[in-house]
Amino acid sequence: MTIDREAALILVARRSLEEWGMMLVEDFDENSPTDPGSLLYSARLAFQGVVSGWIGVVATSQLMQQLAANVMGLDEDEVEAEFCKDSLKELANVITGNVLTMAYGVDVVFDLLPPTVVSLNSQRAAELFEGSQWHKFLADDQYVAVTFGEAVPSDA
Amino acid sequence: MAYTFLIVDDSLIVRKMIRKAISLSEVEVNEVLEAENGQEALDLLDGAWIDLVFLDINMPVMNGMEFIENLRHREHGSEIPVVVVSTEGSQERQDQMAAKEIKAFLRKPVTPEQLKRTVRTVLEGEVA
Repeated sequence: MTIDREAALILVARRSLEEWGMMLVEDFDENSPTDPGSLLYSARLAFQGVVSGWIGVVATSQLMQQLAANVMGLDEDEVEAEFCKDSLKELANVITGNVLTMAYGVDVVFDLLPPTVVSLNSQRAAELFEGSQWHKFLADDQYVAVTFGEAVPSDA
Repeated sequence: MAYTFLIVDDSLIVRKMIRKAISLSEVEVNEVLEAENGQEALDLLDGAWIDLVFLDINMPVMNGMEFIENLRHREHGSEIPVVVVSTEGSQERQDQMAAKEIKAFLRKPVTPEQLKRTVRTVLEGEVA
């Protein structure tokens, strides 16, 4: 049995943050508190199969540090900088693999490409969010957003 | 008997998590080696006998499926147990891995407890 891909994305993202990341996840709304000084990072993982596209995950640097600490069983101040980007890549990997199975079933094979992570300034963040449907959460009071992107045809 | 492990995953935090689970498994450890991709893992296999490989599938340079293919064509390569730790969910891909005599398949996200149990089951034959 499969479910709508957007519903699958929301479910898997929440579950991954809660069960793997050991974080408390809440819905984000306009009144949710955010730290305007937080650095944002974006992970993107492309996939190819019966449909092709990408999963995007945007998170604050604090969330990435907390996630790395939780997964490795460390205190936050023990987390090295390289672990933070890696935690966001692995979150994107976990979300993508599980969303594709939930949305398209176990009989469909997808090839996943290695995820990439970039930092975002406010202009790049605004451009990224424009035109795509992003699902936003607070995980341990830190901002995180996910999207399911369609591949752009090469002749477009 | 002390065992030598090889963890093949491009994710540093996954490698650290598996390393920690190995240390918690209470099996005697000789050495834990790490590789970021299949090619690095094959290079390490040239110089060491490995008792158990933890293997990711989605990796740059050489992915997990290509690594297994290369490993099984090596002398004694078919004797090395491989545990796949991946987000891969398709039945076809899992069947392909089973045909290569994979010892266990763990779907990410995995917990340290799952990893610990798998180490003991594969190496010491304990009932999971």
